Amino acid sequence: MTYGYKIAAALAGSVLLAAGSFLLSYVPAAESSDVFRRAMLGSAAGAAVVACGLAIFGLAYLGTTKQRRAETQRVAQGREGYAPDRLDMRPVKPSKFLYNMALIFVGVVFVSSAAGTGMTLSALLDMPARIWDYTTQMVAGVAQIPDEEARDAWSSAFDAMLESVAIAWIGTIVGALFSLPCGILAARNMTPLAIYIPMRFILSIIRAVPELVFAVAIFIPLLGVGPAHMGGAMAGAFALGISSIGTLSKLISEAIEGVDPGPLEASRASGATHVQMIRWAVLPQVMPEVIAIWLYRFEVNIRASAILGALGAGGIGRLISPPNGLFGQRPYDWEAIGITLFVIIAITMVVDQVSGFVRHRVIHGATVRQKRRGFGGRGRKDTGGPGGHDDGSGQGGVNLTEARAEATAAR
Amino acid sequence: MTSMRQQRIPPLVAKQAGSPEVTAVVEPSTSAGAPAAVQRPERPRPPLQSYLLLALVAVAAFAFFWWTREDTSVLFIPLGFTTLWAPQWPLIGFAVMLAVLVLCWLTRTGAMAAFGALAVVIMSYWAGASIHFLDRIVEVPQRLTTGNTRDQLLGYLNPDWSYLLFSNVAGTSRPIWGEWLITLCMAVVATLIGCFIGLLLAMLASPVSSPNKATSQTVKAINSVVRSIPDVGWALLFAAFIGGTAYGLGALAAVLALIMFNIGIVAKLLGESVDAVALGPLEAADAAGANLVQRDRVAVLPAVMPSFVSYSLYVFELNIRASAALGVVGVAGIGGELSRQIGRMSQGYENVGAILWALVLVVLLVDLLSMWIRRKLL
Amino acid sequence: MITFENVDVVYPNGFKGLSSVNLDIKQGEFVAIIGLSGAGKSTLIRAVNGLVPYTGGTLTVGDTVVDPRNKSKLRQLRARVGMIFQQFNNVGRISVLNNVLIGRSAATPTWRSLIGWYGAEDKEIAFQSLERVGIVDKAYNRASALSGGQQQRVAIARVLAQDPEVILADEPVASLDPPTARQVLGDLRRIQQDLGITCIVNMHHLDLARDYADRIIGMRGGEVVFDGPTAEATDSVIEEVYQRSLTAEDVAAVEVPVKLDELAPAADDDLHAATADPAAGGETGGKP
Repeated sequence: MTYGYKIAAALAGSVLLAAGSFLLSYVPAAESSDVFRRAMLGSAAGAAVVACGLAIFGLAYLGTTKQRRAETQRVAQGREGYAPDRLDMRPVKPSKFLYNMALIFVGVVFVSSAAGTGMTLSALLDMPARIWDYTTQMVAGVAQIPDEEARDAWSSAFDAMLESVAIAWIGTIVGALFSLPCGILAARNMTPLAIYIPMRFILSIIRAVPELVFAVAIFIPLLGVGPAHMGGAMAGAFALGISSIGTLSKLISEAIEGVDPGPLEASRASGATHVQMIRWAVLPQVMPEVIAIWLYRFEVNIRASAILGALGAGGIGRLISPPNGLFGQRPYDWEAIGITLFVIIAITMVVDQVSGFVRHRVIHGATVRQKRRGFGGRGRKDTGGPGGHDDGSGQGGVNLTEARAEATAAR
Repeated sequence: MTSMRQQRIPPLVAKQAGSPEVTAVVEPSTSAGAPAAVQRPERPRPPLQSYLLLALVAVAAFAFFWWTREDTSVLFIPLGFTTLWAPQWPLIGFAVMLAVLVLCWLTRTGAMAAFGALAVVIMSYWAGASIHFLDRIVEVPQRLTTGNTRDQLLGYLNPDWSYLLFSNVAGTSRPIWGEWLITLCMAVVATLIGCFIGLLLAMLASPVSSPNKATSQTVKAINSVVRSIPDVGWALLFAAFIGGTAYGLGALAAVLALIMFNIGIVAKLLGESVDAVALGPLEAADAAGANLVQRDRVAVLPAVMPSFVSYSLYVFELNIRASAALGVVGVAGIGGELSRQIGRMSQGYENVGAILWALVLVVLLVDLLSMWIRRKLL
Repeated sequence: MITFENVDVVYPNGFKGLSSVNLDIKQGEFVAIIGLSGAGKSTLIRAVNGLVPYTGGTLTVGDTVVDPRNKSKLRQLRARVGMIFQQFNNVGRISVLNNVLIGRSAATPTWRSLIGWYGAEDKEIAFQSLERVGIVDKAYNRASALSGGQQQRVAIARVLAQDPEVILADEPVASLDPPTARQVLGDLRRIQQDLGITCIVNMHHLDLARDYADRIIGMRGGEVVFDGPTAEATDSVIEEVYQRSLTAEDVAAVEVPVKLDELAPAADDDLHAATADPAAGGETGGKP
């Protein structure tokens, strides 16, 4: 067995990594950039620790050679109590060397990155006291009977948040309008390869461009910047809309690729044209899922609109971010911040709840609670229906779609 | 054989030409032995009351739009003896709403679906009005031809790469590429910590794996609060909580903000995966006398591991975008430089262009990397 | 070994799973439970290790009374009582060996199973259990990559790794093909006799029950209606349990499945599809 060689190789690798990073922390690039130097030193330190650990482990391994040999012999002799046959050959444990090395490498990268950011963790010590102080102020701000100032804070928070919702809605509508045709064109079972490949390519380009880039580079110059009547909100909405197209189309095309091919075949066999087939065999199958995907994107867009607001594209981000927002100049007005956060949380949660309800309703229909969803081939019928241990065993497939939808919709 | 078929086709076609509703149910009657006296079902008509209610909703929305309109243009309807007037856009919106309702009624759509369609129209009208959709759209051609929009758009197309590679952040000795590095570093740290905490919270939040119902509900509530505050909000909050200026302690604030952001995403997504775990192995572990932690470790964790890895990679991609963006509000990273350059845009667009192009490039590279890892691992 | 004294099970929704069951199962017996679906077979089995909490009477395993409310006592009990399921309930994504080691959970400290560091003894026990069911060569394969019979053997090995006094099996062979079912049951029977384990098995297959069991218990409507050695379980007795003839065709009246007016609300799209289909189908059909 080559266990010893593996330890040696890992040891050599980590020593090399440590030495290399240490040397790199003295190159001219490191002179100019503190971040680079710190990251390299961190990586050197991490790799050195790993090397030490491996060295100790290797020494211990060397020390137990004799015992291991004895153990192997003992095990080889000492199997009794059954008749060994062809099947009783114990297999060799498969190597997880590369996997373990990758894990260690991730650890070293983590240490190196943490050093690279130059976080002063001592600042964390003061944090609890401040959090307590500010939180009490924020809670006081929310809980007080609103005076003139607080009423202003409430109304501006509501206005800004509703503007964010409006931005997200228009963004979603723009995305939805374009994503259905794009999704159909990007589904392998609907389109010839000549359209499919360029479509996929365009969509992945759109997905790669952050919405921030769309906003700054295209829509702010085109539509204006600042509060809603200056065009900032429109810029945000269109930036969100365009970047929604990429993810929505991808998800929709995946949904279309996953449809049951039976009805498609049937409609083709009965002479339906391509469009007829899409209308009557594909859309009825995927429409609930598509609507759910759109709604997910709406939720995601509300959150995403905040960062665009910080760049001057309207909505809640404009209200909170410097230089003109609540966090613009010190001392911060924590009561107003508390009120704003409360409004953000409340409206986001309400929208999430509503859209979650609609999604559920669209996918499962009205009577989902009474329906017993079967679990493929789980023939445990004789416990008399919904018995204690049987609760919720049938949630298999449905949640998966939702999770997958969000997984990609959230980007 | 052929003659038989030809005999059978003409009546079918004839019937279809006559009235489509008859052919709709013609198929069952052609199959042999079907009783002729069966009452043909008619498509059920949705209840009229609910449609009247929907019309009422439309009227209410119309009143609301009239009340809150900012645009003062008015539409006159001459009727001979008198001239009616109404605000232009709310009236058009109302007409669209009514048209949707009539269309739904004619196609005999259910009341819930009609309400959905109506709600979409109302929401779109409201959203469009509150972000001044039409005003801005009609201005676009004008902006394109006059002013500096054209220069700006063209400026982005020839970015100044030497700025990106060799310049320092204004007023410091930090090179620009160092800002990129710190952005990446923040993303890595936040991803690893955030995903781990997210995993724990997802386990606690799902009724499948949590110790009791109270824990699961509490964690779910906390998680939805964490999720509803946007990442910018977290960054600003943490910058304030840490104290000092945001620029001084930026990296820590940004990492903490990203961690919260990641916790929200991972706990939500993974919570759904945990909910959907097959319950059989859990039962088996229970029956083998495992305690809760052991059960979650041996039966839940392996089942959700692929989605966990996949979500973590995806969160890493998100973090690259987000940590670039967070700089905008003053925490560390390339975003800070971006917002500074946007502030000085009157001096030229090449620097901003370079940063934006590089951002696209970095995101693309990270996407490719994570796609590669995903393929290797899963 | 296992005693039921007037055991009742009422589910939270009010369904009566078991009503005053009295049984006494001796050490080393192989008991088969038969009955129609919904007769309470699974409930009976699951009450033994507390997966279904019983609501009345007394249930004793060995000399401990099963107490569904006391979690830690229940865990100690479950360590001594192994269970095999119809759907195998293996964790598909981990290796067969790790699946078997799940059976060692009760004997392993939590932190050790948390980092997956099982002791050499535990591993030896796991390997020996795998050897006993004859699939030790698959120890490092993923459990999901095995066939049904092999998966059920993994499940048996997992139970054996617990070193159990009692094995409960909830329709262990219902999702296996007949020859494999016989092999797996044969394995179970052999191991049970080797180690002197008490075994309670739910079964649908009467012939399998007759071939392998020492004693047969018939259930109907949550009550034990027959209890006796295999030899006494003649066809007439079984028919009495099932309240139905074993050989005749099923005589349940076949009703007309649905009426048309019930179908109507759901038939929206189908109707429209039908308008296009017969005509189009007719045209294409006429061409050759």
